[in-house]
Parts: sequence; C-alpha cells; structure tokens
Amino acid sequence: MLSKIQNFLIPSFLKRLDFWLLTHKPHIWRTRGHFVVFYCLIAAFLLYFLGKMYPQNFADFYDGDYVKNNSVVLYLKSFLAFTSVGIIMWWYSIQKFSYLRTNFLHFLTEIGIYTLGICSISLFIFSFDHGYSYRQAFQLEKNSREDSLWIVDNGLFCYGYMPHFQPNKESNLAEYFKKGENLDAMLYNRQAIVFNILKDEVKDNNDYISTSSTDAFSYSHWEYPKNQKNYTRPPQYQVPADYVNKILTNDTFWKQEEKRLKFK
Amino acid sequence: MDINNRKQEVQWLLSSGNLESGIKRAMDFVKDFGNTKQTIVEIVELSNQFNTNKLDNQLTNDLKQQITFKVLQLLDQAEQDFFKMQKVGKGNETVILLRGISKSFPTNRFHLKNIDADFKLGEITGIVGPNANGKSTFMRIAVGELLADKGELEYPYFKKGNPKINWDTLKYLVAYVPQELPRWQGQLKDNLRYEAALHGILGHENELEVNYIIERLGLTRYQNATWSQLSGGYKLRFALAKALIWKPLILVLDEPLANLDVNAQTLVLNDLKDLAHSFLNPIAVLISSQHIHEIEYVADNIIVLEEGEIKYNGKRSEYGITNEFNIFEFSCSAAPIDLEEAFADISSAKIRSHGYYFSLKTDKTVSTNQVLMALQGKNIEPEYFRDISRSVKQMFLS
Repeated sequence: MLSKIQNFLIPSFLKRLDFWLLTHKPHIWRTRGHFVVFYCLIAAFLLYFLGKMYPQNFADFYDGDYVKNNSVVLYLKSFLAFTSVGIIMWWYSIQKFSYLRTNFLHFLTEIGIYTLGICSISLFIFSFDHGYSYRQAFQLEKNSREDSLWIVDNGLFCYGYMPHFQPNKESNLAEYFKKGENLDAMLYNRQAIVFNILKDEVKDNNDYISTSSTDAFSYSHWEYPKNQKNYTRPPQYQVPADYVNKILTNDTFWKQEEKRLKFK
Repeated sequence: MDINNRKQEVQWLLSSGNLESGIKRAMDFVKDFGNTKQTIVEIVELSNQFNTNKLDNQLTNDLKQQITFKVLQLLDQAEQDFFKMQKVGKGNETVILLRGISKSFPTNRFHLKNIDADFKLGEITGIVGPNANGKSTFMRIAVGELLADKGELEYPYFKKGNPKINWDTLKYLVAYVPQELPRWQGQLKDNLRYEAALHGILGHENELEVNYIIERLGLTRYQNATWSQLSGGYKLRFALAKALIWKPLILVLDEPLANLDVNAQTLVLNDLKDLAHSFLNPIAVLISSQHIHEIEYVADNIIVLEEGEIKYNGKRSEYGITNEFNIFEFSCSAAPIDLEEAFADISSAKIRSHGYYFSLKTDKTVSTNQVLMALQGKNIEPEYFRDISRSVKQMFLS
C-alpha cells in the first residue's frame, strides 16, 4: 500500500534521477536532497497560492503595527510547522542508510546538498508569507487609491497641519468640510505648503508615500475611512505616489480647488 | 580446484538434476573464468528465469533442459575465454598477520593472551570456543576495529602495493557481518545497489553485480521485499550479499549460524565455501561460531579460544593426527551399565556421560566399525553417532 502511494507521489523523472544517483552518486543519494528540494518547491508553490487565498481583514492593513506583528507570528508559526518538521523528517530518512567512508569532496558536496535542502525547506516560510503579502499589498493599493481619491476629492489633505482645524469629538474634518465651514486665503496658502511637502515625498518615493502619525493625511482622517477601526492613534496609509503626483501636477485640479476654496 | 574439476563439478550437478546448485556453481565458474560481461549477464538471466519459474511452479522438464543446455554453452564459452586470456588468480597470500597480540579488560577480568595468527586469501578460518572467551574481541582486533594493548598487527597484502595505506582505508576493505544484524530500511535491492556504489561499482556494472549476487545467493524471491518481511535465514543471506557484493578481501562473520535452521545453515555455509575459494576473487573469511561440526565442514583452519588463550591454531585437516586415541560420541536409550558390557571387549574403552549423549575414548587402533559392532552385539541402536577423533569438539567435552 505504502509503495503504491509512493509510486503515485513520485514522478517518473524523479524516480529516474533517484536511481541514477543511487547507482552513480551514492553520497548525494543518501542525503535525499533531490526529494527534499523537489517537494519543497512544490509545497512552496502551493503555499504561495494558499497565502494569497488566506482570509484577510483588510481593515487591519491600516495599522502598520498590526501587519508587522502579524508577520512575526506568521513567520514563527511557519518555522515551527514546516522547518522543524521538515528537518526532523529529513534527518530520519538519512539515518536509514549507514554511512561508510567519504572523501573531502564528497563531504563538501553533502554540505552543499544539506544547505540547499535547508533553504528549500525554509522556502515554506517565505512562500506563504509572500503570497499573503502580495494580496495585502494589492488590496492595500486598491483601498489606498479609493481612500486617496476620496480624500483628495474632498480637499481634506491640507488641513492636517492646521491646529485650529484639528478634528474633535463632535466631528471630523470630512464632515466639517461637508457642512461648508468658512475657509479663507490662509487655508489656501497652507494647502500649498502641504503640497510642497508631498512633492518632496514623491521625489524620494517612487511607489508609495507612507503617512506617518505626523502626516497630514493621518491627522486629517482620524476616523476615516469606513473600514477603519477605532484606533487610539492615527492610522498609517500607503498612498500610491503616482496618484499623488498626478494630482500635484494637475492644473485643472488646482484651479478647481482654488476656486472652491476661495468662493465657497 | 582447477578449471577442469570446476567444470566437471558443474556438469555433474546439472546431470544429476540438481539444477539450483548447478546454476550457482556455473555462475561462479563464469565469473571466475569468463571474460565478457555478456556471459555474466546471460548466466544471471538464466538463473533468474529458473528461479522465477520455480517460484511460479512453472518449471517444466523442457524448460529445465533448455536452461541446462544454455548453461553448458556458457561454461564452454567461459572456458574458451580463460584459455585465451590466461587469467591469473590471486593465490593464497596473507592478508592479516597477528603476532603476540594481547588485550585486557580489567573491569571484567578478561585477558586475551599472546595471540599469533595468519589469515590468507581463499581460506576460511573458524574461530570456536565457549561464550565470553574472546572470539569477538579477537576478530575485532584482527580487522582493526579494536586496538590491542600489545603485539603486532600487519596487513601484508595491502601494504605490498601501497606502503602508506592507513587504518581508515584498511577498515574500508573489510566486510563485517555482526551477530545482531541492523535493520535495513527501504527496498532490499536498493540497499545492495547503495553498498556497491559506495565501493565504486557504478552504473551498469552496479546493476549487473546486484543482480548477480541476488541470483547467486538465491534471493530472487525477496529482492523487492522489505527487511521486516524476511526470516532470520534470509536476513543473514542478504547481509552476506551486502558484504560480498563489492568483492572484499576480508570477510568477518560473527556467530552467523546462531539463529538459522539446518537448511539455512547448509545453504549459507555452502555459498560461503564456494565464494571464499573463488579463483579470481578469493576471500579470507573469519567466522566465529558455537556450531563446531558445521564450522569444521567449511573451515580450512580452526582456532580454538578458551579463557582468552589459543588452545589450537592450525589446519582443520591436521587436528588430532598425532593423538594416540580415538573419541566417539553417540546417543542411545541404553543404560550406562549396558554400554559398559557392550564395550567390555575393547580394553581401552572409557565411557563418559554428558547428559543426553555419551563419549567413548579408545586406543587409536579402535575403528568406527568396531565400536558400532560392539553396540550391535548388545542390540543397542545408536540414535546418533559421530567420530570426533579429528574434531576440535573433543576439546569441549567436559
């Protein structure tokens, strides 16, 4: 029964390789490295997709600490679940065959095979996490874009630095703005300053602009967006740089904004 | 045994209907005297054909005749190859030489004292003696497994071509079959392939040698089995296959007969005798055992160890030649007093009881016939009878 399962699980090319190593390179064969590398690659590939499919709460992504902590837990779990078990199983399979005599070249080859095998086993960790992160980043970008659009469309990003416009218990800036509160020239100037800061950030970052707790975006949207949980401190956004850049260089937008701020 | 005698032996086995033994010896013949791999491949295939058909109960007389005919053809082919190539065998060169070896284990007050011994290619040396009298210690020292406290240990055959040969290499050249066989993992055939490959037998040659040893030792039936599916006898035979596949010059077997039935013992010892006396690849075999008669059957030399000392070390055939007495052992249902009466006419006869059997010591002039006649004269039927006048067994009679 066991041999039937083995026959099913081992592809013919791997059987041929195994036989060739057995009858030509016994020192490599005994390490079982070829099986370890092959099945680890398959497992890594499957885990990558599993990572992508893994249920995720995208609201959590706004909290940088959560993502970071979650990754650490994920790494530890992966290590315990796969690496340790993989290494123990490999060690057991090596014990099956008695070790005779080896020369230095064989010794080095074996060390190389073992290293390759351990790296292959470690792929489990990265593949799952990479799949998980890929989806995270993809979804984050989508959410960030939507949020950024909303933020920019509502002209909110400029108010964060203004102490007298800090949000309070009663209302946040979005509602403040929707209610049509008075805005003056100072606001417009202040907006320009914030844009200049953003421009600098765009120069330095090609992909995303990280909004730290001191950033305009964060302060401006303490309770935004709708997915956001009740945090004790401002969340962080990953705003696509190209989007921000488009806005910063969009004259039509500026004119509309100027018009809106001045005459509202 | 020269090539003609070897050929006649195979022909006799085949003609007398003992095809199994005949094919085995033919395989030895082809291996020793043939010169092409093709002849070895063919004899292996014939053996496989014979064994698989036998297992399937499809061995017809026609098939037997066909196989016999082909085997004889291969014998002729190998013989022609031999005379064409003028192959030279290795001869009886000394591989291990021990002089004045001593070893002490103060914790159990055991001492191996002043041991001298030579081991030669193509000779089987039986090491016998009671338990815990130094047999294993002696063998382990001889093959470099254990360091002696005193004495000289040399390997003249290996040093001849390579004076700088080291211990590591020497140990690599010794095949060792321990008393407690370690469990094999995976397929048995893979284990044999692995062992052969580790000793430099690679590729097609690896497959050929593995198939050869499987057929030669009659392991066809279990070649794809696992260790747990084997009986004690087959476990030993596979261990022997693993030891012999890379054609070692020294083979050490520690109590191999301990757990074998009579048939298995006969098979193992016959194979061992044939393979050790190979023309092309003779082996120096060291075999320890409590089965004195069985060991005497195959051994060229006997070493008797008692309390760490050598009591006898020499040719098996020469033991007891100078004795002035004969010793017989037998068992029967008669009372000792009846036996005294039976042997009353043999003045020198001394009977001793050893529990379930008796020993009879007489003058050298008393023959086996006389003893049997004496028993018959009193209507005593022996259930078992053996002349041990030339056997080291007499040293173990209490």
